[in-house]
Amino acid sequence: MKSSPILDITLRWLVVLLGIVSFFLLLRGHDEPGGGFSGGLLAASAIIITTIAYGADAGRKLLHFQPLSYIAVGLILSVLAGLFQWDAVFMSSIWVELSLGFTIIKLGTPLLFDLGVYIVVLGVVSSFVLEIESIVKIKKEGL
Amino acid sequence: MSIALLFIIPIVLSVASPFGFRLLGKNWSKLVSFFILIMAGLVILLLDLASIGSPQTLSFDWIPRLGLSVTLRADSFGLFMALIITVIGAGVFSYTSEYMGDDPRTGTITGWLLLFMASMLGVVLADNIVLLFVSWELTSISSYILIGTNNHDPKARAGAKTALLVTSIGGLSLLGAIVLLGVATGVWNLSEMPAIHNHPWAASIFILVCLAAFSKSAQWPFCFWLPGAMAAPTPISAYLHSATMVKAGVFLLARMHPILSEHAAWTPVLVFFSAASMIVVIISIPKATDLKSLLAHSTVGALALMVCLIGIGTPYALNAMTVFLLAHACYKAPLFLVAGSIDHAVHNRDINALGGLAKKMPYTMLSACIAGISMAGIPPMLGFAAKEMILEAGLSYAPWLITLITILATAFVMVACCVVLIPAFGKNSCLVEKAHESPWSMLAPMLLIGIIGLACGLRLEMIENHLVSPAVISLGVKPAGLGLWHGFTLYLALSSLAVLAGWLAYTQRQALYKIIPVLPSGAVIHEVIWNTVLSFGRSLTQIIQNGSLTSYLGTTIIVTCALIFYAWVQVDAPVRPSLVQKITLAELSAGLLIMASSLATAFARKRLPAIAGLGAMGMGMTLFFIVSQAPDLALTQFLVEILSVVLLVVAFRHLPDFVGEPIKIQSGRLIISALTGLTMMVLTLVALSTEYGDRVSLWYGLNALRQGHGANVVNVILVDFRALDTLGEITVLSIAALGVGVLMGGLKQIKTKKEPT
Amino acid sequence: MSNLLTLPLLVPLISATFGILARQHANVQRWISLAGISVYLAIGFILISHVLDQSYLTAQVGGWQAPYGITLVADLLSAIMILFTGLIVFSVLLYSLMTSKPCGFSPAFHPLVHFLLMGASGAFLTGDIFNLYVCFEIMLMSSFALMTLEGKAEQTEGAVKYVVLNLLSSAIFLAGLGLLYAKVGSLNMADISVISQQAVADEKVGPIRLAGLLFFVSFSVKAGMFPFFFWLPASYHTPSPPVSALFSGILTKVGVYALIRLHTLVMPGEVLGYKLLLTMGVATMLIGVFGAASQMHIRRILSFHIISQIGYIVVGIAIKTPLALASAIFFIGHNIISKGNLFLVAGLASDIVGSEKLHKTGGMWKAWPQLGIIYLISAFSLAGFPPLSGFVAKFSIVWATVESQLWWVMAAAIFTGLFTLYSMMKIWVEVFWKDHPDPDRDLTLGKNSRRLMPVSLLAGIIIFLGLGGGPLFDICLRAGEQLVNPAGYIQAVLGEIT
Repeated sequence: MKSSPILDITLRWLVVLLGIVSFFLLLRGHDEPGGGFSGGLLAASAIIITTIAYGADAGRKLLHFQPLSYIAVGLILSVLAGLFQWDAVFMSSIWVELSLGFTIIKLGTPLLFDLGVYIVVLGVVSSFVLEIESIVKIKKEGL
Repeated sequence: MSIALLFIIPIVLSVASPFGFRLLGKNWSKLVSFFILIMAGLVILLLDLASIGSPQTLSFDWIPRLGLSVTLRADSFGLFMALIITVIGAGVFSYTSEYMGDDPRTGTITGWLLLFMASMLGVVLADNIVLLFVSWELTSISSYILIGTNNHDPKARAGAKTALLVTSIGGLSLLGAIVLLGVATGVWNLSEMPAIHNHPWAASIFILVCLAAFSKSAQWPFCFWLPGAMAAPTPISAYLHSATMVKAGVFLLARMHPILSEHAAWTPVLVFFSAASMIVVIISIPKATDLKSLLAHSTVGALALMVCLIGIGTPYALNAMTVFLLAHACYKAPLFLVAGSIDHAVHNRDINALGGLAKKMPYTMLSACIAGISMAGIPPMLGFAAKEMILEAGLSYAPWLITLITILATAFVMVACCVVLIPAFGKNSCLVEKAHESPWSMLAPMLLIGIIGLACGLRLEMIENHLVSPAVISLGVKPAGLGLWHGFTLYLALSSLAVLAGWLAYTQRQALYKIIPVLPSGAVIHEVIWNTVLSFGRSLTQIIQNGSLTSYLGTTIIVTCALIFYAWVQVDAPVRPSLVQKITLAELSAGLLIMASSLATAFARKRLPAIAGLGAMGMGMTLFFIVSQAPDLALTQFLVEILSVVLLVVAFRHLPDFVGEPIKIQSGRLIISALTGLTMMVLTLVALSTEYGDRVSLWYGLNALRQGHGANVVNVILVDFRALDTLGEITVLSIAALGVGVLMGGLKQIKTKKEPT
Repeated sequence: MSNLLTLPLLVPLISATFGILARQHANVQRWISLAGISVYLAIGFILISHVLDQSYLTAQVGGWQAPYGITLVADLLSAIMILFTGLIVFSVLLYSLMTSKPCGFSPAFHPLVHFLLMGASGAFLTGDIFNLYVCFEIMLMSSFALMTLEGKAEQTEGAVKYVVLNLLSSAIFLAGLGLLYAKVGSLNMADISVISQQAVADEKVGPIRLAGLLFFVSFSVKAGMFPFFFWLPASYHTPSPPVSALFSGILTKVGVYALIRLHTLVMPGEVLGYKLLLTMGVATMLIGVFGAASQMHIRRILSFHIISQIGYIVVGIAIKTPLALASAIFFIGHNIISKGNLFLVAGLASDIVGSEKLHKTGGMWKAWPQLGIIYLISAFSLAGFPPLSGFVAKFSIVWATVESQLWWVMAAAIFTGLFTLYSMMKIWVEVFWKDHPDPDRDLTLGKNSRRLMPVSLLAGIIIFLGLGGGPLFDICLRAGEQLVNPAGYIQAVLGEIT
């Protein structure tokens, strides 16, 4: 694939931007539209864009770990979030409010749960696109 | 305790059998035989107890709620049967040891035979009717396996199958009968069961009991399985298919006699079916040329006589039945064993090929003679006494029956002659060279059992006092005196007539072959019925499970829609236009977008337009969410739609262009689509017409911030109130990723050493 | 203590997750899997002993009181289902570990099995009807992936039919959920039960009935009832034998379980009159057994038998007396074990004789008599012969029909028994008794007593269920009584709120 500098630079920024926005969506999700699911989807679109532009290897490189590992880690996080309060029923939440002076940050196990969702969704969508891309590539080379 | 031993011994021996045989070789069966003789001794001890009116019982719960308990009751009739089972059993095991020799299957066969014996003892000693059924079914299973001993022979397999299927008809009927009986009376023990002939279910119970008894005891119309079962090795035929298992049906009828015999149908039905069986036997015997087959037919006849006597149901008839049962066991088992010995020696059982064996096998032929005389009903054998009694009992019912019985007795004589005279004194055939006398462990059983028959005939009063009278008393009738010599009566005359006629029939059997009509055999009819039902089943299955996904979908949808419309008419679920909200312009446009794009997808002939159509449909959904002020859902839907379009394009972009056929509108599918749409519309309108139950939604709205620490209700529901659902959904997604990995090859079978991709 | 109820979901989930992490180390993955299922099984036993003690266990997940959060509930039915599911999955995993080709399975196999198990446990324990839907999705997705595991063309074809028809069922379920939620505004089954009883009193039950009907259709598809069973014979013979065994033990049984809950708890009275359920049950019984009798392929015969046996269970559900429900529950347990074992035995046998088509099989009785005995135990049990588990199951169903004086149902049940026996004997004769058509084939290859472990275990359970039927049936009877009187369940879930 020919590389074009404009595309390269745009993409690089776009990927960074998508990453940041997706994380922002995740964090604000508890109070405003957003959340782990849509955040994860947005993050995954960064992988998709990279994969389409530069192929599956680039997508994998950007992801660094295998998508299935993301999925496993995400699931473990989500389960852990539910187990925080060992003596209460599964999924009982705990909230801590951190005062940073200028703002108050709410931290709670549901947020951790949402982070798990985020990672799973990212892993799942990435695995879709990477699997499809690799098989298409194999088919093409085979032809 | 001793009653439990009757079961513990055979079951333990049965489990040990494969190992015992490996250890002791053919001596194992002799050891088993010895143990069984001990059991026979036990039975005699128990008989003593029972005859003084205190039968030993044993009872423990199994499934009390279903009436099933292991309740054994050693009453005299049961013990009478048990004595036959154990004594003949001991003989058969001893016989088996030499008959099977070093055949490696002997260990398993002995095991199954022992299992059979335990279950047969269960049948005769069970007081609980469910236990009776359990044992009954176990005899069917063990009989199946035993008939199929020579499983390489297709005939053995077919015989086993027929036997099992036919006896299972009976087994299943018995299941029905006992449940009806138990539920009707509330009593599950035979000894406490009242007579129920006035109960509305009595007729059904009676029919089911008859089906069970007739199929087990090979009565017409089920009589064909017994000759087929002769494919089993001879000791098995002797034991199961003449001396014991086939008598289970007779036994059942005898047990049911106090309970059902007052029913109006009892006598006519039993006498009719037994007469029919006798006729079949009379026709079949002259045609048979195989020794075992001859004996099998005569067994059917003997069983028919017993059923007939139970049907007549007078005390005298039941006495006669009991005596005959004993006599039959004492002569039929040795005759089978003789047939087995001949087969063993010369490998042939065809009466046209046998002859002149008396010199080479004197003791075998001696026992054949003893048993044969009893079968022919010649004094002083027990068979004679039995026949006299049968004729007397028969006359109390109807003269035509006497005629039939006499002809049957004639046939018996003929069989006896065929089995005894032809092999022993017939023309010397080339087979004689090979013949050799059997070893003592085979001879002893046939001689001894035959001699028992003789001894019983000679010491009638002893048999009467200790065996027959207590047995009939426990069946609830008065004992009638036995006597070998009744004087010169009509019955003696008839008896003699039968013997003479039988001798005549034997000498003229070649002529009989020609005049006996050829009837379609029951086996053929059985086959035809099964095949008809099976081919019906096959075509039904081919119509229903036709392999086309379209038809599966169509059926499912049509049935669902039909059910819903039917229910909608039946129940009160009105569509109230007043409650349905007005459609806004935004909603209308979103709806139109969805409709247009779904049509576009359906009619698209290329991939890209179809994908675009799907995407547009998703956008319509997103629009709906926006209109309904659900920004969270809209955002997620929007992202999902975009990503799926992108993924689809990625998947398809490298594939060659595909142009489908122009879409034809098929009326059937159009109807299904329209029906689906209509149903969904009705359901939607019904949903819109109801008052919205909003307790839970309101609570979510109120408590999201207060208790859930979040202003976004949707998110709080997803990650807190109903987090378990979300956990489930991300699990689904994870599985989907695994699935894609499987389908696309990334996670296909890996080989060890290699690096997995 | 209430966390006990979440463990049947979490343990498989965690095993699956670690299985994914260990996907490149086959041995590690197998140990994780075995450990996971052993723990699960232990939990199953603990759970049932607690439920026997306390009748009902509930857990309000997240601490949100019903009906607002999701409630997990275990009554005896749930506990029994969990236990039997654990047993069959344990045996299947054991089988797949003992198989001569240990790495023949994809690294996705063990995680997918545990995901399937999680879905099933969730379905058995949840007291929330939407959560039930989610669990169905988990099961559908994982079973679809399991079905295509070896990537054979016929597997894909079967799997497509399977997934399409089941997605249709899910869509119908979802439509019912929408309708129900619009009317009652609650997803908690106990709560719905209360509201719909009120609606019956107010004579405004119509929309609820319609929703109930949609659920009924959807669950019937899952359960494999006539006329919705098409997906089952189309797909069950295609995957590897342990997967077939797993499906036969879990998938349809979850559908039946849902039918029981629908019929006894969620919907007041009957969904469409019990005659519909009864008729469909009898039709399922007969058509299934006809299908089985006409097949000439081991696992196709077994698949059709699943349908036929579902018919028996549905009859029990329809009659709806404590005894009938108890027999249905016992039947489910018996069927999970016996049918699963038959699939596993079929797998061993066909592996050795080289085919599943009956005219190409034979010789196993001589080659491997132990396997023959195990087959006989399972087959006779399925045909309802004493003293095995199937006898207790069939006997109690017949009893229930007699008590309700449903003669035609009783006749159908008995008739079906005969044909069941016929097709079991067909397999026996063709695979075991007959000589192998190829006399040169070495039938001792692959004979390995280690491979008998799981099937012997299951055969032992079959005998135990038969001989120890008394106490077990009493437990089922208690479960049946709980189902007939849902007040206790509702009380346990909703507490004092009602």
